[in-house]
Amino acid sequence: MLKKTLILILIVVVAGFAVDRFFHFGLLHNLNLKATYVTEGKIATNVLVDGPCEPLFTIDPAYLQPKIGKTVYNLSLNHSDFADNFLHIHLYLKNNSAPQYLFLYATPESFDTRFNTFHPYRFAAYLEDSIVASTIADNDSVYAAWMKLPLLRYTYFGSQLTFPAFQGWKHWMENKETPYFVNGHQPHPSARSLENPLHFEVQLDEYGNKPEDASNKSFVWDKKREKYFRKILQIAQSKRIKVVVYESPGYSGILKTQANRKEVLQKIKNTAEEYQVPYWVFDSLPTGDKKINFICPLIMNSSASKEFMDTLALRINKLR
Amino acid sequence: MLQNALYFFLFISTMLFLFYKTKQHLLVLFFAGLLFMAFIQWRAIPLLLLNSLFAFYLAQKIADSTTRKNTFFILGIAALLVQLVLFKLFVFSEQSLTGFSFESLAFTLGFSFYTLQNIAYLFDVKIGRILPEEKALLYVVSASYFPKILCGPVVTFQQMKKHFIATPVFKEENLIAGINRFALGAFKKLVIADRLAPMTTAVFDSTDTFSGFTSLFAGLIFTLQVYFDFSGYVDMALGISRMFGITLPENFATPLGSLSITQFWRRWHITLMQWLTQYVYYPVSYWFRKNMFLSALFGIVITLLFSAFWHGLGLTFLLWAFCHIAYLTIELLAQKANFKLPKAITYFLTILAVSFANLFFRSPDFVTAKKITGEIFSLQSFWPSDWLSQFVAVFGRGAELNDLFNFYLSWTFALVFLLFENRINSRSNSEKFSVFWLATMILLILVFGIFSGGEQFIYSRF
Repeated sequence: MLKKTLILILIVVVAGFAVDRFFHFGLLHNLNLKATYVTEGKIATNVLVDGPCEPLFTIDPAYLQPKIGKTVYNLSLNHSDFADNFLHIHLYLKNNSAPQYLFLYATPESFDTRFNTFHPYRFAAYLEDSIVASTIADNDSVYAAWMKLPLLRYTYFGSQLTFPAFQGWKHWMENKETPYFVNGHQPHPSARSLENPLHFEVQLDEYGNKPEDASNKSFVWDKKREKYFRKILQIAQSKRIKVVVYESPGYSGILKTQANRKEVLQKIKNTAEEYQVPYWVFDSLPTGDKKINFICPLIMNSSASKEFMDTLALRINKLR
Repeated sequence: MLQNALYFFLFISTMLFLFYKTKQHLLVLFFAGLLFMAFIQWRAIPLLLLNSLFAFYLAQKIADSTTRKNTFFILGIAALLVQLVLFKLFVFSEQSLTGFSFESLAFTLGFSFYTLQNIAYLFDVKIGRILPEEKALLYVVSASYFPKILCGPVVTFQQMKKHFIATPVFKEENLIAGINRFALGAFKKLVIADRLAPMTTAVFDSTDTFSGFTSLFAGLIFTLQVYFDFSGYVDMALGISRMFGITLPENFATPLGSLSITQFWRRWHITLMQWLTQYVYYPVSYWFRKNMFLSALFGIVITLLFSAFWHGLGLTFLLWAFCHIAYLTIELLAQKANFKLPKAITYFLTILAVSFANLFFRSPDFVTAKKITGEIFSLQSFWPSDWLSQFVAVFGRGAELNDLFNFYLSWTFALVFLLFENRINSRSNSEKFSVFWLATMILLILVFGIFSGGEQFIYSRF
């Protein structure tokens, strides 16, 4: 029995290391993962956009670039919080030349832990980086306890990483050089592009209530969110990047029912001003008044996104 | 999750060592039970001890008394049943007010399971099937035996006693068989059940409306999920128990391969069904013994209603029971008329019927159940108009390639397992150390297991 047990342990350890390497290699070659693509060092952009799904779906560099005469890359990712954004920016700046501008999306929701979150698995292949490791430890202590173990550092989030690992191998075999979403913008799953407009009506508010009985719940300002918001501003300024914090239009029918939205907006503005960073809010745009322009309270459909990008481009052009 | 697993292995190893090395094996099991409960929820310990001691002393009263046997018996059964009702009422009201949470059930962990053992014990003593136990420790250990405390299997005191009175002798084959069985249970739970869980959540915990086919499919997925979740737990319980040289009864016999509902109930949650047959069905049937058909029918109705009540007080459980009552009545009538269908059709109909009933079982409330089942009977909205967005994306929790990969992977695991279930089961019961089997199980669990945000065992809420 002892001999067999030793053989079993040997097989599990050897196979475990082999699978660990399989994951590692695959994830390091999957260009569809933004963390991987930015570490390839192939993006030389003038304008970097970052934030959660709102900018991911609404800012299309292909549409914005010609209007501002600058290259744009959208670094945003679904459901990401500031810690998530911070690490992507960190990996970007570590491997690419610093952009001229950073447009960071921030709303009262961004500072409330009920909305968006940190996704440690997005950085599983970069745990050797001390900033990545410490940020994960700060945000997900459970994963942090296991991320040093071979194999488990990947399979702990198997549902999120198994497929990307396989896909990475495919990219490597095909010698792929660009990701599926080349400029980082991802259209909403129901709309293939801005040329294939998406028209929806808001079904539920950000709290999951129907718009007609929209909640009056207050936003709760989270200190950790604030910490990473500040870290983003600091890291950007250390590289002499001009930062603009902005909020795209939201559906006013719901926003006006939110008890302390204005106060939190002011707090964001004050925090940004500590770093001499402007905070652009577009709540006076008529886009926000029509329910039909939105998929959910903060995400515009493709045609409204176009209108917003036109306004944004005008404002960017005035920056010079 | 992983941390808990590590503590758990440490706990099992220590307990095994103490169990075989000390002469006080009952005390070891007693403290193991308490420690196990304390680790999960220490607040559950008082109720467990009080209930077991209550049944223990009352059984002695029943046996000793010559004139008030019935009084003590009725008092005991009523007290236990009232507690069960109160517990179910508490769960029901908690669920209605704040939604389900395991924290709210803290002090009632395993309650439904050990209450059945206590009721059976009083019943058996009353009818003279067994003599009351004289050692309180032995009885309490049988109720608090940790491998089965959370989700069974349901056992009687007699079944446990024979193992506890024997002096434990360490046998290598018991350890190996236990590990083999435990590995299978962990695989079922972590690789299959927890992979299927988000798919059912996507439908049952959503406010959206789905096509009838999507809803029915959600019922099928839940049927698979609950099977792999529950049988996974039981495999682990049987595996751990076997390491201690204690053989717990089997709870499943490939139920998803049943060709009729009658057969399904003989193969599903066997120990509960045996308990219900013994302590509900037989007494009820006995009342109507003059008419065979009525006796069977009333037996089925009362047994399934009791089963529904045991699962919970919600209307959804009642509707689930009514579905099965209807199925079994139809089968009874078909049997009487000697009506038979080809095997393939009966297999399909059985799975379909079980899945449909499970729509009620899984629905958090009646409104959801009504919404989900309503679409099934709608001719206009039965089929999804767009399969990718209204079917695959729903269960894949998105239409991205990663979501589809997870969707297909979960199904592959579940179907391959069911296809080779008999072979896999016999391998997991082997007393031989197979490097291939264990290495495969461990690697499959490590690579494909769900470790982040895993689900609680479904039956630990009952």
